[in-house]
Amino acid sequence: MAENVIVNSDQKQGLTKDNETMLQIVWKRLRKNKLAVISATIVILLYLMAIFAPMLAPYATDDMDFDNLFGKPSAQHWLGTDSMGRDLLTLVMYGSRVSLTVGLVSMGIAITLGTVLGAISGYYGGIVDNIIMRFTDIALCFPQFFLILTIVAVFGNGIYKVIVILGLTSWMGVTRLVRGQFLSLKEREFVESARALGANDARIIFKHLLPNSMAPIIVAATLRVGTTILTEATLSFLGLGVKQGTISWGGLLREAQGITVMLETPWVAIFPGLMIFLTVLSFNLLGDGLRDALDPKLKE
Amino acid sequence: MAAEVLLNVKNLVKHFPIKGGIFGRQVGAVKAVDGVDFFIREGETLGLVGESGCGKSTTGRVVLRLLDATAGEVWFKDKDVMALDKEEMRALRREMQIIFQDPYASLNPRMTVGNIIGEAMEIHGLASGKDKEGKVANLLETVGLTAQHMRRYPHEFSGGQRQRIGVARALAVDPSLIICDEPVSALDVSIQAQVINLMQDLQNEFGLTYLFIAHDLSVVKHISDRVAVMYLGKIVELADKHELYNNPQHPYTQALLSAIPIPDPNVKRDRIILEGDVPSPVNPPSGCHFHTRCRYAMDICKVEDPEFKDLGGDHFVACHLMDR
Repeated sequence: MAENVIVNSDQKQGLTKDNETMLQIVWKRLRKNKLAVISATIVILLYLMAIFAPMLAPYATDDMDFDNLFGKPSAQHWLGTDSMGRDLLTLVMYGSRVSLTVGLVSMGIAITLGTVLGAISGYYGGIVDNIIMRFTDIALCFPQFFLILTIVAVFGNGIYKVIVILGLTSWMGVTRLVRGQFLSLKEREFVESARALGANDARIIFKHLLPNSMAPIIVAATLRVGTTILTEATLSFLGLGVKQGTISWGGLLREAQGITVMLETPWVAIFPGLMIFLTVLSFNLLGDGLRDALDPKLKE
Repeated sequence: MAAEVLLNVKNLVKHFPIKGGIFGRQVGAVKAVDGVDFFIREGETLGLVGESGCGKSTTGRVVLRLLDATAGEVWFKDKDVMALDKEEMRALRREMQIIFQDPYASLNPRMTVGNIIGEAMEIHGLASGKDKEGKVANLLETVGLTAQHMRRYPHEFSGGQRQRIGVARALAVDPSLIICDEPVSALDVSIQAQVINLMQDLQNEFGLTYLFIAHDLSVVKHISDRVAVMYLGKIVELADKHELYNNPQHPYTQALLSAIPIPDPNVKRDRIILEGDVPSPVNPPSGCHFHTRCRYAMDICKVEDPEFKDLGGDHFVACHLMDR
């Protein structure tokens, strides 16, 4: 009898909390971080802008206002016009499509590749681990930027090539991260208990190890997008990214080179630059916020 | 006491290699389990006690083949556990389950309690869908929780409740043997009693057999039928619990038992203080592993490994003193 009473009071402790899924808890924590919420909002707005650019843009990309070359920001052209009299706001909007696509898709490639390799390496260990990790070390030895320059020089440029190249040159960090996660998680007792229940490798990897590794992977993915957008902009600025004629933020900056442009018509450089800055900053702050929100050791 | 032997362990050895040097050569081995013999009869509880690092937990894991044995045999009913292939082993896992020490580490934090308990049924194709949900609810009630707890996550529970979930998970496949790896060591004393009582009730209800690994002698005395004492990878004494606690033969057992606190300040007792530390399992002493700390140590103890002998009445001891 006495035992039952104790058990019941024990249960009440558990009942005081609401039923919450992991996602709800993370969202609750993220909401408290103002900077992260603002960043998330900006990122969402940027993607909406990219998707709906044709509807939102005030002009078409090939509308040229010949009477208003290098036009100052005005009521007609909010951000001014460029050397060919094109509306800068329109160009910035369309340009976001390249940056955001490149950022998201090459992140996807890098994360997928990194997770698969890291998972195999960490889970199976031994000789497989050795081969994968030495390969990763070798890949890390190449300075990424010069590798990209070489590849572009050989295979040519273009948005799809840039996406693939950026993805294929940035998986190493994720591989190491996921391997480390798997190495430590697979020694935990809940994994041992799954094994004792007769779970096979696939079940242990997909149901136990991967869900518990998601937090750092999501953080790495978010930060990766920012870095990738920066690299793409740099490549396009050098004329090695997207093809000439494709509108991108880096490409707009390239056209804004030159001392006269910088001094006399600074808006041509400032606005695309500001967009890159804002986007990368948002992704980084969101990544930091997610890192805190996803940390299971952090209690309210 | 004519129950059948359910688990029979013969000369079980587990050495963990130590790799060193540039080429990763094996330079030594941690002899965690160094020749262990015991058997458990159906429906009984065998307590396995010993100091930290003496190989208790390793023994449990090797029996379940969570670790590969270096040598020795494990027989479950009429099956040679070490000889089973992957599929046969998976099937056998239904019969042998384990409850872990740390209720915080042993439940997947990203799975609901319902999924944690239901997973076992899924793996062995015992139940699915509504049927599974019903069975999980039943199990939760069996261990003293409620069906509503199914949709909650482990972090929402207290230590004692989590251990109950661990017990429910082990029961989900309807096993006959459960290896309890220090199941109450991480709990408060008041909660320990609840979990121990629960485990005893379940044993009576389902006819379970337990290998109960612990370092708390009072807990082991309470739950076990027979008790085995382990020191540095070997079992030094094994007997019926009343026999062992009243008539310990091995000097190590005597020292251990003298350390049990007596809840009466007026009772004077003779504590046998063991000098020094447990020697390293990398380099265990020659002969009898205990001779470095034994107050009766003789010359023969340093040279010859004592035999694990039956003194009669199921009382086994490994000590040269018994030969005199």
